[in-house]
Amino acid sequence: MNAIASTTLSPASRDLSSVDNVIERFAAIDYVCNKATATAVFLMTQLQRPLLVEGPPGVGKTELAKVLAQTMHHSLIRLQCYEGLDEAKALYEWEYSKQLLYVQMLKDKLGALLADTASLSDAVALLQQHESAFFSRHFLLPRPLLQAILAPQPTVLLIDEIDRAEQEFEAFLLETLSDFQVSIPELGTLHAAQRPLVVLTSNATRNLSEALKRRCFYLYIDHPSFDTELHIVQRKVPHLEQRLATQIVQFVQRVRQIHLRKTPSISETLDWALALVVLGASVLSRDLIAQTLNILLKDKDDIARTLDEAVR
Amino acid sequence: MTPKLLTFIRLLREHGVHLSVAESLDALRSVSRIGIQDRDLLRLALRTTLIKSQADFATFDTLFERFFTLPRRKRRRTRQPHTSRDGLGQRTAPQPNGPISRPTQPPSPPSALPQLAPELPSPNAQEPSPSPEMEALSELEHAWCQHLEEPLPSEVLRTTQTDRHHAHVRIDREFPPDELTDLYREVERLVQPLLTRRALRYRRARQGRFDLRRTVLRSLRSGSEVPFALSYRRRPLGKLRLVILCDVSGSVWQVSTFLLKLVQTLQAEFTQVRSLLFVSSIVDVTSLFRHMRFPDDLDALRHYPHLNLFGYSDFGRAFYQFYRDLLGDLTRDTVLVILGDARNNAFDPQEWTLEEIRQRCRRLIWLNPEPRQEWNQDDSVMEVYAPFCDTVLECWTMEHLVQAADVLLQA
Repeated sequence: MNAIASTTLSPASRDLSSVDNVIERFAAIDYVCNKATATAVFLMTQLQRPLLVEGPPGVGKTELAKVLAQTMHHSLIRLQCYEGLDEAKALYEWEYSKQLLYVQMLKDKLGALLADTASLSDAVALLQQHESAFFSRHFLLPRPLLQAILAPQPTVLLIDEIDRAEQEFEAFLLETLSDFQVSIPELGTLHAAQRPLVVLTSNATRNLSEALKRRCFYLYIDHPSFDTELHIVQRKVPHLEQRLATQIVQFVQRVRQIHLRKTPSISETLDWALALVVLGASVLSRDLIAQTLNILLKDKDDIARTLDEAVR
Repeated sequence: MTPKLLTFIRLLREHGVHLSVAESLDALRSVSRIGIQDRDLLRLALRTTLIKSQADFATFDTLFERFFTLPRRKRRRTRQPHTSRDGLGQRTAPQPNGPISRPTQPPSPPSALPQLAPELPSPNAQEPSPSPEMEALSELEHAWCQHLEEPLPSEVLRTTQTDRHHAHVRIDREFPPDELTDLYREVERLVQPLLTRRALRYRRARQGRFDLRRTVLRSLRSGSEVPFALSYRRRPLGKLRLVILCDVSGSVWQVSTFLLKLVQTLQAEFTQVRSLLFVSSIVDVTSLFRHMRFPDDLDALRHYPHLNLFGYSDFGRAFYQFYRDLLGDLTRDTVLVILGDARNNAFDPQEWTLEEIRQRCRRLIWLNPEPRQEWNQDDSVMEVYAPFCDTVLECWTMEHLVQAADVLLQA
């Protein structure tokens, strides 16, 4: 662990050098990933393409972006998508109130400036020369996308739950994702100093447009296999006994086979394991499951069904 | 390696995976970074760059296995020693399609061979006499081409073929269950643009138009000459209630399920959705409906108590029951959608009930799952009911369904 930490600090090895290197360095900060994930991450950093991550909720899609930022020593900029998200919230806004406030405060200055002008049209002509003072970067309120473009240091841009935003927003993203430049009418076109690494996540509640998918690499993260999940649980919940950990993971894997409304995710497994540790449990008994199942499953019918089918 | 990869990409396209040139380039670039020593890594790299949907993973994996695995040489004995005497150059060059062309699928498999042929024989072109290695090589090539040619397992082909469904698919027939899943997803996809448009309308209404008068008044009231706070004239759009009344007798069942799926996709656009099914009497399935999974949960609907799927549909009776029990449920903001073929089996149509119902709701939309020319034939009484409906639409293809959605959202 120490050896890895020291290598990551030297600037030469900041970039991910191979797929195995990705797995190794992610593991160093407790993110267990399989080869598919590592390949996708390696390729996106090498070829500078956005990565679209799909999968059921709670399998660590958002976490992947965070871990990537941490590993590469980039700062993370996050854009959470929701219904009704528009350009003003995602890209930039003019700070109207600030502009007005400055006009108010500079009133005397403006008066002095315009004192010599003979007619109204002269005054307007003179003001126009100073127009850029009010539409400068100073009054620009950058939102996540513009922040990522303007950032002097390399960044990881996380566009979270893109499937929640409307399709029009997706279309708008295309321009930004392919060129990393933004045209602001008053300022001209702003180019990215460096290309941010973009991670888009989606819960696949709707199909994304072909055009967006074409520009991205694609990674599907499914619920982890038994071995992987056990590995994750052991890493994230340190004080868990080996036997209990195995039992927990076995149980969760079995629950996933049942046709439930909401399948438990790895994050819920971790919550449950933590709760069991706090309760001082050493063996997973039927009573214990019945008492604590509400941590793993969040639906009344699902709980009843699981107790019925998985606990025998 | 490049020609081989391009052949593979072509193969993927032939099996229904949509791939652009940009994606092919990405794939080639990624292979140059990853190398080809590790087969599994190569597979993952190609999958990451080429496949953009989990549904296509199966196709990809099968094709990859087949393409990048050399087949066993099981056909060794069919090769006669005398044919190998003319050497590989002759055998492949004059009749490149000879060994692999099959009468059943002429265009696709030859694409593999011409690109491979220059790769294989080139080092031995000067060699006049056939060596055993060359023979083995050509045999391998032959076997490989045949191996590629074998049809894919049906479960892999399925996912790719249903991708090609368009809006013109007729929905008033039985589908194999595995196709249905994709069709229901298709409904969601087709309706998406409508929802986007509507979201835009809502947002504009919510934001409102700039109101100069009120902005100035407000700034004056607080004594400042500069209007810090802008006022807008807002007139938010209200949402409507939706009641759907579906005939689910045998002939209409299929279309009804599609309508239910459609309504489920749209349900966020209404304050409340109430779903009623009937053959001769009405049952309320609203509670089942909200989180229903298509097509898994349809069986639960089919076996709902009191729903006699094998009975004769009786519109008059169902409408009378609606009039008697549910009239109070209708409001000025309620849109009522009736789906049915109006084949009343010569029962009394009781159209007066429909007139009463019409007067209590905002709009009444009738969707008929039969083509228009079949209306009013035999026992269909569409013309009796039609005068009381605001809109009567035929609804037997995906396209019709989308039109219906459009009407619904504008109601």
